[in-house]
Amino acid sequence: MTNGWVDMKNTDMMLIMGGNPAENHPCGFKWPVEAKRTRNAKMIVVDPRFTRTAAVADMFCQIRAGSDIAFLGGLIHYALENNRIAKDYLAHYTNAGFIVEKDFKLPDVDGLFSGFDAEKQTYNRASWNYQGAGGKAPAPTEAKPGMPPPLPPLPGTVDFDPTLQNPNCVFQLLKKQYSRYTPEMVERITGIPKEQFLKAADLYTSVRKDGDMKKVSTIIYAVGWTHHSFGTQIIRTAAIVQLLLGNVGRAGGGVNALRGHSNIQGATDMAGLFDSLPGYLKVPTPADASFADWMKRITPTSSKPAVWDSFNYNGNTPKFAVSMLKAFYGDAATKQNGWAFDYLPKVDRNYSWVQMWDDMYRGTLKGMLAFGMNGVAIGPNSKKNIDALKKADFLVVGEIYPNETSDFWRAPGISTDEMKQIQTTVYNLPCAGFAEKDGSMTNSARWVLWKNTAVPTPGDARLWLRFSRKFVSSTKKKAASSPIPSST
Amino acid sequence: MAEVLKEINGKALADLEDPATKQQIKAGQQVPGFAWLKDDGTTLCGNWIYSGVFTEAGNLSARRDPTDPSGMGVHPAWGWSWPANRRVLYNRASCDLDGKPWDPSRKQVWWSEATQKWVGNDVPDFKADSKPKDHMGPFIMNPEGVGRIFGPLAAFADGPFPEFYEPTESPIDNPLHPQQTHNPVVKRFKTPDDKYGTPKDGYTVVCTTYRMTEHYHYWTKNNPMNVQLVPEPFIEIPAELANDLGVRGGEKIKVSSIRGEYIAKAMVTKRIKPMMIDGKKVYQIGFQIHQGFRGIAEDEGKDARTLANTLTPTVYDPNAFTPEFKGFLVKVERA
Repeated sequence: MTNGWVDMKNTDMMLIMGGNPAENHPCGFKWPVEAKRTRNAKMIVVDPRFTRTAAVADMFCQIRAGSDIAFLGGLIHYALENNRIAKDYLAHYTNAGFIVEKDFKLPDVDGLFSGFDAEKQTYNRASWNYQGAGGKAPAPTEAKPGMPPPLPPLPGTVDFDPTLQNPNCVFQLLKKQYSRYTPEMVERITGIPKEQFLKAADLYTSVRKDGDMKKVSTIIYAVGWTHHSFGTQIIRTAAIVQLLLGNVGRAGGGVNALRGHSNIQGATDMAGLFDSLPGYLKVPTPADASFADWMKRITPTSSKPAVWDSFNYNGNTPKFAVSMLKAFYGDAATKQNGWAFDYLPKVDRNYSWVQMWDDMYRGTLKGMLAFGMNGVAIGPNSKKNIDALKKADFLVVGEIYPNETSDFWRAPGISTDEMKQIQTTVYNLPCAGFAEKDGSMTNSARWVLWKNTAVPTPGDARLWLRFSRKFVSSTKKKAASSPIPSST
Repeated sequence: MAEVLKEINGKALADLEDPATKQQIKAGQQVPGFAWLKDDGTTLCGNWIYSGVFTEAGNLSARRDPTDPSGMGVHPAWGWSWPANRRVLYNRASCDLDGKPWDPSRKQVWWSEATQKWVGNDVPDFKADSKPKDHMGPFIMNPEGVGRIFGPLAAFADGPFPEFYEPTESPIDNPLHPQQTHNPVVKRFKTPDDKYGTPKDGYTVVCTTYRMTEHYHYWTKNNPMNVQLVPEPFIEIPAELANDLGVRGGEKIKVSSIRGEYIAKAMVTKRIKPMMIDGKKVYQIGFQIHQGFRGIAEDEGKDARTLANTLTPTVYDPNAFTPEFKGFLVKVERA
């Protein structure tokens, strides 16, 4: 969340979409209710079902699952058409006035942005850039042997039109991009009747009636937005709505993800994903030959109009990275050896969840440590995951109950004869539950909250930390004879 | 575990001094926050955004002081929030260009002429001494200093502006550009277990899944009280669809995608209405995810069930890599 649970009581307007907090976050939902009760805040719920959240809303729209970008794009179109925008905020606190490269092309004709490579199914994103001051294109970058050419950098000084009139400025491109998202188009795609959509759009944008900046609206979502092949872009559209209306950074505003698990926020903060290190530092790749190389790639330099200032806090990335490597490797991390950069795994491709199961299905991933998650059940395509485990050499499950992953070999549809053919060795380790260990949890609002152990672990159960420590020490022992990476 | 959090916060490995305030910390002491971190090896910190959570003042995440001086729900001494105990990110944007709150009745931070600093009820998410007239952007984590309406270069894999694309399995072609119905950079998988259904194959009903108050993920099917509350799965279908099928509430139905099937009792509802999508009548259905083939009810031999995710496709978002669990196509029959 940009804001927080308790902060929701400060809002004047709520759009709840892709989430059902009344049923799935019943405790936190008291804050939206508080805003209704004490501030007469309005609540709009957009969902495929008339949920219990919808039941207390001022307005409900039934939407087709997965058509959210059409609804939100329609909202952008409506705000622009009806001048329900925060003009000063937009001109000074967003990149609305930045001029974009001449070669950039919107997807209005064929559904593709400029630079699409049909064969590789990826975009060459070089044209998705700002124009440098004086109309200069950023200097091209040189490719390393065997590596794809890196993207050009952002220009240090950006061409800029504070009046937002230049046809190639971000604001004009935004207008053009969403001019197609008419109420009629919203109806065709989402199934929400035009009149109903217009009512919702009018209500939501009413906080910026006559340019007044006092009122604030918030957008609240959960996994109904993230669980799509365009989930990130749904949230992006919401962020654009909020920037357009000047709602970000303000009490009762923002873009607020409701996390489904008490510590999901903490997991992502601590490198729960393959492409990030703690604190969202980007992982090194094989193209980063040294610590200096890696830092050069992931440390941004400011890119702004000449008359403005930019703090560019991520310019401090080397301080965060060196301090992290000192925490990882201690005295073994020295200036001479690039802070033991060679020890860090270099991520050469996508190792995300779905890809991992695909690798196991194809036989390139031989085993799995499954702790605190039920991989077969959480899917997608559970059968594929079960078929993948049948091909694995080993599976280690750390849990407090047997589950569909530890017992994948007896899934419905697997005959006794077939069971006998499954060669995977399964190790079940009894782990500790949440009440059996101390530690911190980070909630949706980024609040880190410490908890104490309530009850001891039963029987042979152990903390996952104990098991992982053993894995590390035995791996270290086995690796003791391998050569230490040379200094760079 | 507290030792782990201490290391995540970070400590000084040499005596350090803040050049501006002359504040000193000794080698071995916890750093007060990430502003102290160095790139010369004299500090250690497991995760910079958590720096400040466990200082020489102790474990701040264990604080439980409910006081809220501003009355705005800040509760600055309840736990600790990253970064730097800020409750609202980018809060400089809550003020106009001169540093005055847009709404004087909800003051978060503001520019103090007297002290020439940003101050407030929340921790300012900004360079504390940057004067409003210097026009520093409030979105300090972006190199631009401002919010990104246009996400340049590598920010996103599939476009600097969001564009609507249909889910991988959808009942219609994309009305915006029928020749490019789906997100063009989303890759499909090619193993024998990876199949994607279309309306032509008879998969015409839009399906979504969700969670219930009474259960927690796939866990509480092991807890007798939760199992008592909701002992078995059900599938919510619109009344009109039930009429078409001749199904009454409580009768078993079978939902199948091209990848597998799921059988449970029908819950006939008016909470989901049939929809007109691009001129076509389309039904939506939904069901909760909480059961499987291990659990109290399951182990008692009450029919072993397939998992909800047997139906969902292997395909994911190209930016966050989250799978597409919602909005896939199925057919619905009497079981």
